[in-house]
Amino acid sequence: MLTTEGNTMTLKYFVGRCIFCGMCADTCPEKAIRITKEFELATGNIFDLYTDIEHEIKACSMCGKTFISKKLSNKIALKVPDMPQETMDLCPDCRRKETLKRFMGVPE
Amino acid sequence: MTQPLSEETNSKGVDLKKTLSRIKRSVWVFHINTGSCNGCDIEILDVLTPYFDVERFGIKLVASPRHADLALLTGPITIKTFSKVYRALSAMPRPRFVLAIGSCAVGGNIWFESYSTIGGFPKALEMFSEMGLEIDGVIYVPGCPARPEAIIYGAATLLGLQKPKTVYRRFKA
Repeated sequence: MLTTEGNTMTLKYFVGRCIFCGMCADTCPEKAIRITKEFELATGNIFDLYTDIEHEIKACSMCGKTFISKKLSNKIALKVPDMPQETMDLCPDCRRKETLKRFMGVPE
Repeated sequence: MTQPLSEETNSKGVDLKKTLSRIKRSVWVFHINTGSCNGCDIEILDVLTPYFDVERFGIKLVASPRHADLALLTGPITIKTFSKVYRALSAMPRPRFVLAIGSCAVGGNIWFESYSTIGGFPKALEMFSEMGLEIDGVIYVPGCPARPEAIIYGAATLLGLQKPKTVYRRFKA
């Protein structure tokens, strides 16, 4: 479950809702998820079954909307080197508007 | 038998160590299916059959909640079964313990916000405390279905023979 709070995005994993099908590990493009044979998960406190991952998120330089995690943004920048930095800092909506402006020369 | 490791008191102020010392001998269990798919129920049967054979530890399946110390609860607790679960658990003598087995009982699994289920034992526990039914201890055993080893480990955790291994973790990516 993803929750956004201020400048951080939290990825919450709760074992109590997992059916251990392994589909996530199969389809993970980053190969970040792995299925283990660990079974000694029993606990008396339900909060022990949660695992949180914090991600820093980036805000759009125009409208200020948060739209992507910094890590993913850096990854994309690495894979697409000819992408200008100004475009990377814009949220998808603003990016569309900016591109249109550049091509059409729309006056405000 | 070794002394229980858990020395903390639960939310009701009941001394867990003292309560646990009263079930020092054989733990008798009662099985409640609250709308489970039978996966966990079969795993419970596996635990009781000669391959794992928990009767050598004194864990015995009984037919009535009045004889039981521990309830083996499986399933996400559907609306229809909630009143039955309440009646079964209130029939159990104190101290009463619950082993919530399977992801359904722990957090509702894929039915966690379904219209027809309570959504796991933690939510039912809140309702029980409002209704005045006290549960002395709950151990959550996740797994879909929970492995027989996991169920035995859960029972050992309840009795204080094992310390829980999982802890809440928070990472920064």
